[in-house]
Amino acid sequence: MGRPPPRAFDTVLVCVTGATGIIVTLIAAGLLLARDEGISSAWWAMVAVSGALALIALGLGLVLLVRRRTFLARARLLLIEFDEALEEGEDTERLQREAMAWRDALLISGDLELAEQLTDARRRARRSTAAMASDGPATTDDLGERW
Amino acid sequence: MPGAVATRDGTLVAGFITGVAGVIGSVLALIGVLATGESDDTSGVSSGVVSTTTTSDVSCIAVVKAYRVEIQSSSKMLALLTTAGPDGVSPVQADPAARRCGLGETSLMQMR
Repeated sequence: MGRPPPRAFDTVLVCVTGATGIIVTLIAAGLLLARDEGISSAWWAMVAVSGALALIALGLGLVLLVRRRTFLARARLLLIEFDEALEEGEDTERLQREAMAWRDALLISGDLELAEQLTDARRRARRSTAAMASDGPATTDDLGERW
Repeated sequence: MPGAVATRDGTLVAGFITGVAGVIGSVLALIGVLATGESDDTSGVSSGVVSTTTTSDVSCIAVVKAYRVEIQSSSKMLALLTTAGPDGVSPVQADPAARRCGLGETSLMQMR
């Protein structure tokens, strides 16, 4: 699964600071151009450094955004896989463990809705397993797994 | 799950720090450009040409433009700028910015 991405607010904050820096840098550069300043002006150096920093920030923000989208997409895929396994009555032990790990990661990344959906899916899986186990000793082995 | 620990993401911290540094730097640059721009703006006032001598980093284009505006705004200004004072030096000769940019009495007369 890897490391969970930062919360949506933090990710947007980085993007917004980068974009703000770029906008202010462009305004400063435009004013310098309008004043017929030479390229050797010390202000140009400051504008260039600030612009580079703002671009880096925006780039990092976009990387975080992509990471976040990929992470959520994988979590949704797991949820779909879980639902399908439940509908088809397959063994969901592995998926349950995976769902718990994903739920923790989703809670850290602040995606509460998806975490809740995974918790619900796991609850349904546990109920299903319990129902199978209560069908009778003739149909389950010592480990509680269905034959 | 080893990955799911509630610590700050390195990329996030780096992005935030560079973003804030970028914003602060660009705002400082903008303030600096605006502040120095105001002091360089010499057009529209009769003493503007003289005020350009206070800053050594004024571009020659700005100096020439300021002199041209002053000369064209008044017919007497050319004579005032090129006439030597009691010390034998004309205002344009006394202006270091004009000297730096190669402006003299002859070039001022050509501007008219």
